[in-house]
Amino acid sequence: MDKNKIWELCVKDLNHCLSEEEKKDFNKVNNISEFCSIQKQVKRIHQISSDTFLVKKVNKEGEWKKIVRQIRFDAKKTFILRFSKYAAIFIIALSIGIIIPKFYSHSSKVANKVEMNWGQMGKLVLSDGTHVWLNAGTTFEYPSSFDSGKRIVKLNGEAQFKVTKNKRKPFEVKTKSGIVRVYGTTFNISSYEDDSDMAVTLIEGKVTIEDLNGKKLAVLNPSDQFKINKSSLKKGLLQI
Amino acid sequence: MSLLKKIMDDTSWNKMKSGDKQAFRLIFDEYYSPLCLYANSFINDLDTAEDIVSDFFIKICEKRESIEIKFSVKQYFLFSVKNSVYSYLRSAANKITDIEPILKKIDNTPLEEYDLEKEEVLLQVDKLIEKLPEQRRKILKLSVFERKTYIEISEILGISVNTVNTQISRAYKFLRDNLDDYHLFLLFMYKKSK
Repeated sequence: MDKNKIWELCVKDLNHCLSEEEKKDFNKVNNISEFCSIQKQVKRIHQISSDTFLVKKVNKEGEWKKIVRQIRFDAKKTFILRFSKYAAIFIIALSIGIIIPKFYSHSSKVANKVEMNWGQMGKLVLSDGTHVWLNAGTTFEYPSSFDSGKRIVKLNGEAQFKVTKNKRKPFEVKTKSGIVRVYGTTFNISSYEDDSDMAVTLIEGKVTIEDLNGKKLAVLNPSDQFKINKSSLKKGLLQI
Repeated sequence: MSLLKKIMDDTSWNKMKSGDKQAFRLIFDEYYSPLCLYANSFINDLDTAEDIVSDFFIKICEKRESIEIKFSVKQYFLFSVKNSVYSYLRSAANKITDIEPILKKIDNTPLEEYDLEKEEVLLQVDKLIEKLPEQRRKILKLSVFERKTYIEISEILGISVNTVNTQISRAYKFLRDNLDDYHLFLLFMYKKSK
């Protein structure tokens, strides 16, 4: 098949306009050496031209005005304001933390289990205020309250966590291939049973990853991604 | 991304961190529109994309003192906006019901492979598109921007599907040849090396 024809097919494919017969042709040219480079070019041109039309619709100045109204650039003032906000939260949390356990010292410690079917996603808020977004096909176990010295949950699948800060009670996620320990942070774990890899991506804060015997495997900083192969136990750390 | 660009970004970022509003504006000018297009490439809803990116700019401004950028401003921005898109899809505000294909697309688009086109570059491309014969330009716009199928376009303009096919294919080729002349797009380098 000549280059011209491949080019035409690639353009058509990108625009979702291939007929059944052309689809067959398209699949046939897949392995021709030039195919990849042609397809890349077509994709790039498609994106650039679509962006060119779109960029004119972006209301940059209007949004800038909106943003400026909402932000402050007086560094000192914002610092004090922000600090007082945290101080207030800290004091309230501290007093609740002292008072509540006195009343509920025998609270239940039932383990809950959530299963997400394929095509289903969900969000949970745990008793400590931690937010958990569960991806499809995920099983997640957590206690109704975290009484012991650690906050332990179990995960099989993929979830994103926004962990409430608590220096004295580390938050641990147990998976088939390791334990992720954090104190207060946002991160994503992908550890499906039938996937060969487990991947942990950190969004903010700091996490440590240990194997099932408690041996430290990695310490992540924001935008680090840690991957471990379940069978070969090959590990890797990359920045994304 | 060139090293120079990275150094310029880092400088603006550090200035902004220490409270320089002018530097914030520079960063905004550079990244606002491209990031909107990036978010839009997943959700295909420009208004929402703009909201997401505006919220992101407010957030980085509020938290600027505590944000440590490891590698580059661009990567940090892409990564954050990508996460905001994730959060949006999982939030109650999301109006898209079938998010699976979008999540798949996000996962299959590695950050390093996404090219953020600068606004000036796109304006140059716009001038190039203006040079196309009127009919061809119209067809390109209907296809790329309004996402009409070849059949729909042929009905709108009263021409054959075959003509639409040829015209679009030619428009793409015209862009390829001329973008190359502009030396704007590193992608086409390997074509020369062959």
